[in-house]
Amino acid sequence: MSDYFDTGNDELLKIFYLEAEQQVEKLEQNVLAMEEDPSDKEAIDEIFRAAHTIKGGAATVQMSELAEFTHAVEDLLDEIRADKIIATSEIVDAILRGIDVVKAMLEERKNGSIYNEDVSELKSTLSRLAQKNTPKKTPAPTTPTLSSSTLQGSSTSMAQANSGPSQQITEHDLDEMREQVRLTTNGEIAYRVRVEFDESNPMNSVGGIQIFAVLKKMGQILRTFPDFDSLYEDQFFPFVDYYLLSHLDPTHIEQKSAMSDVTLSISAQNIDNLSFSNSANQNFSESVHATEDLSTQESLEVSPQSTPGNSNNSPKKAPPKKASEQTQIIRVDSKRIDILLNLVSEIVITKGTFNQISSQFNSALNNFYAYRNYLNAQSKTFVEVFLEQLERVQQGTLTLNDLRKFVTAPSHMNDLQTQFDGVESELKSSMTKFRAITTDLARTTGELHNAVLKIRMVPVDQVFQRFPRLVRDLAKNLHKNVRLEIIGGETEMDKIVTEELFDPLMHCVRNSMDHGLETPEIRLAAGKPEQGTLTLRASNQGNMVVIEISDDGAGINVDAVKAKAMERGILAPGKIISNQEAFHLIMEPGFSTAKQITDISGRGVGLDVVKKSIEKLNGEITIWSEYGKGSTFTIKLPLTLAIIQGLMVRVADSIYVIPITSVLESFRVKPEVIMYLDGYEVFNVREDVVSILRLSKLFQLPSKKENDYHFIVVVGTEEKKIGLMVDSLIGEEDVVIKPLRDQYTSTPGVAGATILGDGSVSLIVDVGQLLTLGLNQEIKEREVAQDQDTTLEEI
Amino acid sequence: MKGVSDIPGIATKAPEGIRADGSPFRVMVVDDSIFIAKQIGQILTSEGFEVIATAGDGEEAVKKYQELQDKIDLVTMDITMPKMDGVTALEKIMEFDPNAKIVMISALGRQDLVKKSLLLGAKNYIVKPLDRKKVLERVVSVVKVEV
Repeated sequence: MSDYFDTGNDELLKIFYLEAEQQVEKLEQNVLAMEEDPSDKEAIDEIFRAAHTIKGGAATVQMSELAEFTHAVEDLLDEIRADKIIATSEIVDAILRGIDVVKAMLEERKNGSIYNEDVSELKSTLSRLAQKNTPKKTPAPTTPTLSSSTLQGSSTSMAQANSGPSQQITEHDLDEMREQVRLTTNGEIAYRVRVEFDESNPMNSVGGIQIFAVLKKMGQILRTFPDFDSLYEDQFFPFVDYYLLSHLDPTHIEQKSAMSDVTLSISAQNIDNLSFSNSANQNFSESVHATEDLSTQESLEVSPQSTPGNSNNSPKKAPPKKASEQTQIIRVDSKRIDILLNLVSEIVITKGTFNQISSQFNSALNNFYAYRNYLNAQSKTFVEVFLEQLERVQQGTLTLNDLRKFVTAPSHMNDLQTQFDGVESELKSSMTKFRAITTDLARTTGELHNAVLKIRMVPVDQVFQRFPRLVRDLAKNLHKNVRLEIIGGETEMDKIVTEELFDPLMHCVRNSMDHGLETPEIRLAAGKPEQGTLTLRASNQGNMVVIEISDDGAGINVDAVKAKAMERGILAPGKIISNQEAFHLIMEPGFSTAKQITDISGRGVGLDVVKKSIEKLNGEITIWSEYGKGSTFTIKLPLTLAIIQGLMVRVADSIYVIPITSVLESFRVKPEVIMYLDGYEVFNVREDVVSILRLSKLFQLPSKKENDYHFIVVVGTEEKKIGLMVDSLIGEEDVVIKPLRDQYTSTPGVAGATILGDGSVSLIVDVGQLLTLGLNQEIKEREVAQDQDTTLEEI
Repeated sequence: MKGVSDIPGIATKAPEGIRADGSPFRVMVVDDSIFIAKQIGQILTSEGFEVIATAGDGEEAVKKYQELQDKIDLVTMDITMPKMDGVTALEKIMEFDPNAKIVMISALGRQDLVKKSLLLGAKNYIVKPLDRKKVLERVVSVVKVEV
């Protein structure tokens, strides 16, 4: 087909995928909008456009299965758009299923293979739905150039239309036209232009009108056969006669209206030379002017069904492409790039200033050397003279008083002292400049840092927009009535975080839909509105993005959770915990309060996986709930993964980085404050007891001798925290996270590494892991303790 | 040997997008699909045409045409677009400049709109999926008509 598109044209392919995915998303959003309001014309137009764009693109990149399937969907959409059918829920379902197939096809292609599942059933459903209403042809608009008088009388039956020119134009008609010419003409001649059309043209029904438009410019079209309305219909006519009044000569008309792969032959004849019989037995090979297209040479003989030649429709499968490493394309607002360029140019200026300062320092240093040499020479002279004088004192030629006078004479010392004044002021001015420019540089790099991060920022809506569909399908499945509210979709966050966010979010939403929101009957019985509300809300909080998933459902039954947790051995019997802590038990591995296991959530792996993936993103998740009123899951995520603010701490000879987002507070405590509880080191923070983990122990570093003070950094969340004991605190710094190589990734408690300002490598502490590590240890220890208890009893 | 010289060799064939005086024909590409716009651009520039403007919807197209009228020799106009479709944009541009040379870009199946466009003054049309040869043939035929 297309001899232009090269399947190796990766750049175009990438754009195609990017665009197709956007269109699919648009499609889905608007289909849901249409379901809400079937008369939403804008949504319907948007749906149609999106499907159309996908189809066009797919055909160009030779993904025939995709183009063909999208075409089937488009047919149905076209009927909806033309108001011939109304989007019932059956139709919406079929379209959504169709969108799923389109998605799957795109995915397969991306992976280098071709979707090969049977879609014929869905296709026939689509076409059945499209045919529900017998489509009516759209009436052709009347053209201003054709007066109704020239058109009337030619509205004849179409039965013979396909069998070439027929006798529908009678001798009488010809006479009428000749008469008209005689009355109106000013030297113009009436021609019958007989055009043979190429059926192999993919849009072969357009030709009749196309030639009409061309001829119209050469004169006045008196009449056509078949008539104008018929030409406007979506029907192919192998031959069309145009009766044209023109002052151009026939050869010129023929040449100007010839169009490769539209027309096969054209002949213009003066109607005076035509007779009725002549017209009926017209031999088409006479005075035929071949168009430039060589293929016409063969079709000079009349053959209405001319060979389909180089049909554009022949399916030619693109060779399967190997799934190549897909580099990601991010669309960036060009303004953001401009800011970047601006900042870089500022840095270039700063560099110039640094060069200047460097040469200033250099000259100061040279001056310093010069003065130092001078000083050396002076002091040498001074000592020599002094010794001479001393000799004279010894010889008695000079009194001691004279010597004292000589030594304290201001001339020597003053001279020496002022020598360095010049160097000093020179250094001082350089230093002031240096400080100023360093501040400048810090500001510019800070801005540059932000600007670069901004490039990776995408609105969280990219994730949120996938939920309307999900919620709709789930609600249908669960027979619940749920309204989804999305707030703050424009909040921006790192693209990678956005991508990683979908799964945990989906789990939370499913959890809310399945366990939180009640069925309409229960809701009504509880005095709530029949329709439940699920809210997705995103907002910024300093360096963090906060995402809330809240529902107005049943909420969490704290007592049930506690009982279950004890039953499962997650919670030690008799332990008193706050509601807040109880909520978090539902995110423990193996916890599930649902009575039945459904395929939506409640496989008992849901929420602990959510917690893990959020922690992997350096984020945290908290739950709040009010029994009977609803629950809220709050996810806090850093804006970016690439750079974190870290608290630098020293343990033995190494420096560790603790992500500042997980640091609650830090303490300097005397060793006697540390107490032992269940054989564990703990200390009191106000009313809380916090257990202590010695980092030196964890990382097996030689512990220094007991200091007068211990430094303890309390990390975690208000609900769950642990104190990390370190040797000293160094300070806060922005650190760039570098991933560890494979062989180190299993090291517990280490999230990554960073390179410090002096070039040394420092490990970043994985707080989430440390917390679980500490907890596991505690549980293990308790088990041991319990065992001991029982043994004691046995004795 | 004479026979050989009668057939213009590939190397000697002048690029279609350049006038006898060496200046390129200038084109405005209107398409809401960046993909298609890029493809048209690639095809045309490979033959020496100059794409001097692009527009992503009908409104933008009309606005840009009014700004750049003297500089635009040809417009390729997608039919289905947001905000203002290609047929309406065509109508507006023709109203503004009856001599505008506009080639419609249409997907298969939109015959009715293509016909409407041709009657409204579009000089020709191109069917998607785009075929390099066809695109050039149609664009050249429009642009070379009595310059």
